[in-house]
Amino acid sequence: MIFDVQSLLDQQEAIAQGIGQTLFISTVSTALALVLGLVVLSMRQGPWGIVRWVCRAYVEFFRNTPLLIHLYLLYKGLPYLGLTIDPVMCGIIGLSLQSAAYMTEIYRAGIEAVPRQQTESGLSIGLSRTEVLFSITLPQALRLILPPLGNQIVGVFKNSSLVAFITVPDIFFVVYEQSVTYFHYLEYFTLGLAVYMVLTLMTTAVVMGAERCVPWLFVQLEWALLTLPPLWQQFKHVLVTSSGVPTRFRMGAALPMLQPAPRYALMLSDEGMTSPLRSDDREPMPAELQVELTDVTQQVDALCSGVSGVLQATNSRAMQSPFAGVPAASEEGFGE
Amino acid sequence: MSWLVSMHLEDVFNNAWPLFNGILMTLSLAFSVFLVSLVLGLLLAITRFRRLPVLCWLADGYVYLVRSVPLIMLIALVHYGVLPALGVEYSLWVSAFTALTLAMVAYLSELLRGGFDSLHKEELEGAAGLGLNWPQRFVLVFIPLVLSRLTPALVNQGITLIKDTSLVSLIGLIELTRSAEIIYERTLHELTLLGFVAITYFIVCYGLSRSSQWIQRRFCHSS
Repeated sequence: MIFDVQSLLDQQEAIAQGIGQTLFISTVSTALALVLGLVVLSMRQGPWGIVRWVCRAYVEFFRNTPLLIHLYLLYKGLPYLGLTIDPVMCGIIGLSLQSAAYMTEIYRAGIEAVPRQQTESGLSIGLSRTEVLFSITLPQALRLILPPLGNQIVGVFKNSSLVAFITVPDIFFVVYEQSVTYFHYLEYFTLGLAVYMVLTLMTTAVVMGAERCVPWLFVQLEWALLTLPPLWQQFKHVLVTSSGVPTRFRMGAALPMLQPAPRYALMLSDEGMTSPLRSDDREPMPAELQVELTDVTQQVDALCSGVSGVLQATNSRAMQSPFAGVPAASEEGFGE
Repeated sequence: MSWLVSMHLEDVFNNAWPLFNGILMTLSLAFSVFLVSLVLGLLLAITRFRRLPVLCWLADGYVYLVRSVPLIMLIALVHYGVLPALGVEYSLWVSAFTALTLAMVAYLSELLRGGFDSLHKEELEGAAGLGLNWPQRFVLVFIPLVLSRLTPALVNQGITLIKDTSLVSLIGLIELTRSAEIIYERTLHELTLLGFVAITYFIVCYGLSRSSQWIQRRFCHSS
């Protein structure tokens, strides 16, 4: 058998289109699945029993049946409902529905690994469920979520080859057609292996980069939200750790205080949002703030043990933050 | 009752025997692939865990290659490319079995190597302290430990395998998916047959995962 380069060159247009199709379908499906997974997760943990049950059924169905069947059901079943859609759309819908089910489970496993006390203390200081999810649970769960999520994303790229079964001319379709119909086995299987290996390598690289960036981006996002006064008017108090990661509290909520006070400064302002303040060990705290501090300490002394978890949460995130050079307060063993 | 008639359930009843054969084929294929690749995967995982000089590089390369290529590509490659080139007699079952085993060995060895890596230092030293040589250590101590710890992950992998057997319908092996395909190509009632197939896969896979959870809760209190 001789490697016939000409057979590849003859079809270079189809090959290029196939690679483009694969890339398009898998990128769009990944993006959709990431979002849909979060939506399903929040619905699954929501207050309505029926919605929770439906979400659970959705996840279990898609996790326990083959992707091929999902694609066939969409491609051959939707016309029965009077809907005829493009095979590419079918592929995207099928892929994203299937991987969203897996992603929901990944998100859930990560979030459930965060101790329940963290959520409870978040709620006890007056944050809503969504706020608890986004500023307390998710940042901690992120470290557990990202590696399997990366695997799943690479999986979407590999699974996208199944759209060839519903006549989408992706790269696997081209490889299969050319090799089986025109007997260019050697050339096209080599091409297929090479393309998928490069694709996987690229996806893995992107995913690994994202794994490093996402926690950092999360902190950045939190900062950006905090410096938008009109949007976050309801947060009148800001607690700032010495490592620079803020935590928000609602006006009127019980404010937690910590024993090694110099590391923390509490901003109490009546004028909406103020710029966060960083306190330094060497710098004595302004007198008026110290007054506030002791005040609050007395007020919520009893709540301290429950709430310190939240602050530790903030701190564990701080260790990955761009301000990582500053020693995190949790090293000092504050709280309980 | 007109909706019940329009569902064409008679397609399933009239073809119960071929469908049942399809289910049997799916299950037997998955079961045999899983058994063989569990043994081979263990060997590969030990090779990689012990870092045996040349073997472990080969194993690493193999696992990397297989994990980065879609399973369907592997099936096509084995059926149309590798086995004919090796001169193996043309058989759908052999092709499907080989391709799935090749893939499963790589997946399982990655999983099991993770299990070996997560053994505690005390366990490693304890086994050595008993005066066992290294094959004995693996057979008597490490493998049972790792297998019992990884049971949920292994069951998950088994479920993935059962779902993945649907892909061998590409090369025409008549398992559950393919048998349904053959039937609806004739009767043109795709939705009925696909629904039946989906429900069957669901019952098998969900049942497996639930029963493994039950067994885990019932018998493995330690972990």
